[in-house]
Amino acid sequence: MSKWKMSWLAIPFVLIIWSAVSAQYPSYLFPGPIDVLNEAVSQWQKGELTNHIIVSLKRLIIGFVLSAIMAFIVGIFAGASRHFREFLTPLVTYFQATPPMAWAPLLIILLGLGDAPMIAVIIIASFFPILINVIQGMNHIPASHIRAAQSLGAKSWKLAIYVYLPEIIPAAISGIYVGFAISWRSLVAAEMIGGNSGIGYFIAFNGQIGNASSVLLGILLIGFLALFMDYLLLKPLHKRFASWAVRS
Amino acid sequence: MASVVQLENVSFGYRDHSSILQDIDFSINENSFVSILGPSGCGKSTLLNLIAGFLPNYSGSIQIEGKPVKKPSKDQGFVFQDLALFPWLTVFKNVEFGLRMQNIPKGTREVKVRDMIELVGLTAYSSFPISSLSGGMKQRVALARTLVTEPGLLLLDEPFSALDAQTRDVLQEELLTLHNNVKTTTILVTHSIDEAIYLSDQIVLLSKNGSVKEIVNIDLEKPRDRSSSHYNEYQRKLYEFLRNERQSLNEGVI
Ligand SMILES: Nc1ncnc2c1ncn2[C@@H]1O[C@H](COP(=O)(O)OP(=O)(O)OP(=O)(O)O)[C@@H](O)[C@H]1O
Ligand SMILES: [Mg+2]
Repeated sequence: MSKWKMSWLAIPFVLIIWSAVSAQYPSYLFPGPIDVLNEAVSQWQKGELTNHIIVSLKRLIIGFVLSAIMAFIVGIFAGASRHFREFLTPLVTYFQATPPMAWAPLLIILLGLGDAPMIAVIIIASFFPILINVIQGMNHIPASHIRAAQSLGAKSWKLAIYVYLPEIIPAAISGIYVGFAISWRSLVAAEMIGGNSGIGYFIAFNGQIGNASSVLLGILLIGFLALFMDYLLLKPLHKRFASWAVRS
Repeated sequence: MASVVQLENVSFGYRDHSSILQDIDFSINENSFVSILGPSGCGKSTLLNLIAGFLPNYSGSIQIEGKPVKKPSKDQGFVFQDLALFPWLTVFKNVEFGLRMQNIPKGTREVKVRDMIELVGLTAYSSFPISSLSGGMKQRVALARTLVTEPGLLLLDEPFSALDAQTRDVLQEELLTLHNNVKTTTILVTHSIDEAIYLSDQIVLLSKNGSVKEIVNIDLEKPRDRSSSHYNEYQRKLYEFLRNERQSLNEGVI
């Protein structure tokens, strides 16, 4: 058996408190764990919730990948040019201060319901955290690494791919972590205020018709999906590209 | 003998400093081993960076094989004071880096890299990450990474200064053997008097104001006997030079 960890207590602890408190209320007001589990089974059989989950994850991945690619490109230019960096600074500060989902109503007016405004919210939410980290990564590249590469014959795009890129990846991945958390939360919120699909919409809709079990199920899923993405995408990404930065 | 490196009236100052190097004039013969010796902060690294093409805004003329130096090139191999190894690559991939950048075909490349890693005694560590190596091993990787590309000119900036005495001795010995075999023209920056005398054909003495004080020819057979009286004479002479530099530095402060 592996070693005992305090973290094993956390979820049972919450389940017990939840059961105890919810037992004081009728289940249509405050459903307990068993009610939510039953709800999950029946939703699974209907298949509708699964579609909402797929819709949300699809938006998240498309938006996030687009955003990360753009942030990398802009970040590399900004890291290389002081003028461009100075130009970007007020924009970054401004967008960092605005909650991304505040843009959702405008984007929905502009782009209609459906995937486009949601993807736009994700891009607004994650672009700047990744950008800032990429710029920081660029600023911390030791000059001797660049010189070493040049005197070994690296030029132009090879210098970019084989030196600049690996140098900035650890910082960029920190940005990806932050951006990922913000964009997931913003997506759900945006779906709640103006969507017709997605996990956020599922929660908002069930709230309106007074289905408390579904609302709680949706909330639990948001957290589990984030954990799931962390294990499936972010951790392997970090392991593959940035573990050297932790060791050295 | 042809001179590969030729400096005429070279002066240089960083953007925010007045002048670091003044009227440097010397030339270096093919296949020779030259050291640059001087007190800390006198501009030794700066001079080496100029020759490597890292600082193109100098005045005067620096030529390598008759061509003016304008930018870094694979013909000037450089080993950095801080080594500048790539921490995201293994030992093998670090050594392979230059050949890869120069589009050497995979087959040839791998043979050369393997041979070079064997030469520096790190075969067992080929697939190790840089962070898992000791200081002396890192030093060997840095040398191997540069040597494998067979540069016409080898520039070494205090490559052994961070090492313990034993490792330093071993690596100096290896460098000497290597230079005897391959005969790459080498410029070594050091502030170790012994290292300079033990390895060099010529020593350029750089004073603290950034000008060449003297160029000393070391006329002793290699490998050199550190206890011989000639060796000690050179030692005394260079020690005297460094001591005077320190004194004039102190007077400058007062
Ligand atoms: N990038 C830089 N920008 C401005 N000044 C610099 C820079 N690099 C070095 N200097 C200055 O130039 C002078 C010479 O520095 P340099 O590194 O060439 O000395 P050095 O002889 O190699 O010293 P050490 O033996 O300590 O390595 C020093 O006064 C230093 O402060
Ligand atoms: Mg130096």
